Amino acid sequence: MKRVGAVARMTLRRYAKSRLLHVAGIVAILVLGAPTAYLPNVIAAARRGDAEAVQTAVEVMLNMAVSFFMILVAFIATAVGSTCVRRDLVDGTIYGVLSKPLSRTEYMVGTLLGGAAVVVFSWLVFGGALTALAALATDPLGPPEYAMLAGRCLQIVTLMCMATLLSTRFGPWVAGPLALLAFYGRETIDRLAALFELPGVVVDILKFPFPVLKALGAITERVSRSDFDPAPVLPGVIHVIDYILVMVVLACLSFRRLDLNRTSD
Amino acid sequence: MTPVLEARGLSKTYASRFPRREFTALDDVTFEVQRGEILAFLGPNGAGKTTAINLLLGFVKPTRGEPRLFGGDPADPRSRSRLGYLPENYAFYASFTAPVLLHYFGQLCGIPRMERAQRIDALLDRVGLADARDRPVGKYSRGMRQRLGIAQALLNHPELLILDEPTSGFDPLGRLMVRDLLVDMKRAGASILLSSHILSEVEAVCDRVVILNRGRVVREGTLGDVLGRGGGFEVAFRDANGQESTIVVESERDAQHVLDDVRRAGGVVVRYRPVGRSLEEVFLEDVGSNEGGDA
Repeated sequence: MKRVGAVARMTLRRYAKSRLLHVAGIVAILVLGAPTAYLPNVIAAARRGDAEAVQTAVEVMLNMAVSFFMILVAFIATAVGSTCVRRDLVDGTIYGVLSKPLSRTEYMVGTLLGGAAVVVFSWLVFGGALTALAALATDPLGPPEYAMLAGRCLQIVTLMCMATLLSTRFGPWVAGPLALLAFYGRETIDRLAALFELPGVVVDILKFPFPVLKALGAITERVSRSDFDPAPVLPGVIHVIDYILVMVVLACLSFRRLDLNRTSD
Repeated sequence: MTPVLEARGLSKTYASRFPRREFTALDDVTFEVQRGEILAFLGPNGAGKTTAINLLLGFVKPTRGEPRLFGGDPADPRSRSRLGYLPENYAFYASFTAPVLLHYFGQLCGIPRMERAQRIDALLDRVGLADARDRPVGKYSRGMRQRLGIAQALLNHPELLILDEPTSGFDPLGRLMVRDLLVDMKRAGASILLSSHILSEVEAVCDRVVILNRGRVVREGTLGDVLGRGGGFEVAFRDANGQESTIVVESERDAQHVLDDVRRAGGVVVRYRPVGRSLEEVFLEDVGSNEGGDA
């Protein structure tokens, strides 16, 4: 376990110094500011004394903030997942690491833990900003909403694990988009089913390997509307944890079978 | 005694699907490294040296044959606990300093913190990086990175060192440091697999030689055997009249008789040496016709 911890800490430290996350941080600040572009509409509505228009404008601002952040965090998770192991393979640092008494499973688990820590940190920043926005614009968030946020965070960790699994076989520019496609697999299949008019049973079978994202999707509704019916969070969380474990096991198995020749992308 | 490192009939074939093509990087390679010896592992670019090392360390799975590290499976981390490895063109996480990286490797080796700190200080002194310890590794020269690579390979006091081009990027002083280090390690009882293209240095330190060409072992033996020593001795002398002559005899005893005769007759021995070739000559003879890329 000490070796796994050492690999996880090193992965976290590497990303803390990575330009990728520095750029993401700058984008996050810009994203925070972006919804304020809609602020003149709120002020104009308030001057007219139109309470309904003010409420609508605030909802639009919050929706923008949530959507931007979801995209940003998904980007970070995909980038971290598709590069955390691949980068070591391509630049050759993996040879030094794996010549030490460290199994490939320990290396993979440690790297995934470090990557997950990066994603969770990004999510904490997002959660903090969301809490502040909600407190300012609508009602403060409560325990059900925080539970949903935590569940959503786990979903993003799933995306990262999926990208890591795929990066053991493909370069980052293939693994990243494939991971996103798989992560949003249910929506993709729904669209394909509508296009080709597939029978319901076939659609259900096709959807089976992909994660159920809607289980924890009510957070967006809650932030923009106060009269929502909170969905039960626990089954969604269990589903996602299940999914993460499957991804970790598959990533370890795939990495154990990999011939570590020098590669270039 | 069990060899510390053993390749038994190792073969590795790479196959591509589209278009269907096969490339044999290694073909039935067998050799071993015994305890306390320095084995020179030689071959031109593309001969399969790095592939063989990757197989012996468990990085790549063999198509046929069996690699053994300390008598065990190299994929088992316990087999690697007594190993030090320096890959060719070692890459490090560039934004960290040498002590941070060495602490990381020390953690992976399971060395306790206090001991780790002491070993790191001593190693940085030994490889001449003490003054550069606070600089990020990304700002190191190639030679400095190679020194750091050597330091990480020695961190766990290995019983077996595998060095792939250890003097690559070094100036003459750096090469001398590596040679001293190899001699010290051997004196301490460590075994060393040394892969290098600088044959004069290899010749100065190694006990046995394996030469690989196009994925096959083309020569193996002790340094003396490989260089042809034992096959004869050359005695050059100047007789009492000042005339110079050269005699080649088969054995050292015959050579001693010639030397005695020359001295008795009032002559002067100008040169006395075993007849043989340099490692470079042997190497060129074995692989001279090879034209390959890196494997």
